[in-house]
Amino acid sequence: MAPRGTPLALLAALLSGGCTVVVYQPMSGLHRPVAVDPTRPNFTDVDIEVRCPPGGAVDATEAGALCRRVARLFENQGARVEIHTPGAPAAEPEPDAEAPATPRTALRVELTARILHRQITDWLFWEHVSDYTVAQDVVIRDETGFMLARDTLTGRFVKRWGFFSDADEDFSADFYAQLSQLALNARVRRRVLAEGRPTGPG
Amino acid sequence: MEFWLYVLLFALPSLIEEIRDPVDGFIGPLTGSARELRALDCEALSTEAARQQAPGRIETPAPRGDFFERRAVICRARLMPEGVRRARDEAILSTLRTAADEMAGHIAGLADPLRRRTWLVEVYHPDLHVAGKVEFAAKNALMAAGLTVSDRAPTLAAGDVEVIGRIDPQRAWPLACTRYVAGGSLGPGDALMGIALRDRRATILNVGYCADGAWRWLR
Repeated sequence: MAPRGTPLALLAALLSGGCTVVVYQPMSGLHRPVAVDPTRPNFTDVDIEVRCPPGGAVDATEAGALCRRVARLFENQGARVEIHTPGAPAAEPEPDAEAPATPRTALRVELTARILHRQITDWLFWEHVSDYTVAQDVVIRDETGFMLARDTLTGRFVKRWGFFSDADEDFSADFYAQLSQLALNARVRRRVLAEGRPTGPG
Repeated sequence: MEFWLYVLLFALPSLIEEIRDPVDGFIGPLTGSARELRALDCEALSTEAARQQAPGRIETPAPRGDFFERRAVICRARLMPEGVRRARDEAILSTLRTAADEMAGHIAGLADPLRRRTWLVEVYHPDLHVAGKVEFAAKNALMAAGLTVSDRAPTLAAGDVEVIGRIDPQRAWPLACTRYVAGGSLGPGDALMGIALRDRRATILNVGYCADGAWRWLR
């Protein structure tokens, strides 16, 4: 006969988090199909400025880390990337700096995160966040501030009992793919709008 | 025994809720529910908004309130399972209604003499089936915006098609526009709404118009 305390110990072990995993559910935007391949040089003639203002769901440290990762994403696709830290003055071009030989497209990517919902599980004297939903707002503008693309990517993270989790990898793959697609769409839109002047006899 | 009753009493409401939750982390990796999760588009709503969208599915709280914190997430299964259509086409077609309304809105926002013309629609997309769907949606959206729409398609001479088919879209559309007018397939009372996929890696459609031999991109 098993000792009387065995089920309690088993339950305590389960509840202690030893067998909890985070499950990722893409809610809207994050799992939209993408046509761009983020491993290809999609932005070889593009200057991208990445802005990640802290606030909402991320503090200054997390915003900085997010900006660096997104900057690396675009650098890997051939873009020249600059990270803009809120509060710091924008870098002025060198007075004697040579103008680039060919004009480059400029995009400004701004990322802000919001917590839409947070569910706290209260179990006697122990409470933890068991379910939260995050919305990542993405706005892409050209160098004049004209908005080229805008989207909200929403994902949910749930802590459950289990043994396997690819939540981080799955979320990162979705998020970076969507960012790449949005930036490419913005680039196409900018090019088309630049051609928007009337042509022909009219 | 009392302990288990206590656990059951407190855990039962959340267990019942979790049965209806699309996330089941415990058995998910074994049953392939991760794939099923990706087949759903979900939206978090206030309970009031959810009650309007799905009447009868959301419980009405007691007049004096209760001990439950309610929130609603409405999930809709995708029309086509993932992988059936090409990713680019799926992205375009899944947002086609909104995109068509936006494109028609650009045309409807043009100045009045132009707006009152008879509008023809031409779509360039590598897949003819997708092009047909986009054309149909665009014509419907134009009619819904109160514009006069024709089913007629503008035509080019064989020589024009050969030349225009070989040049890049930036020059092809303005050239086609002049040839439509010169060839008489686009009369003085007509205008053409042109919709194009300008980059095969993009998931957006661009729109422009041709009137009196002049081409202009709008979006």
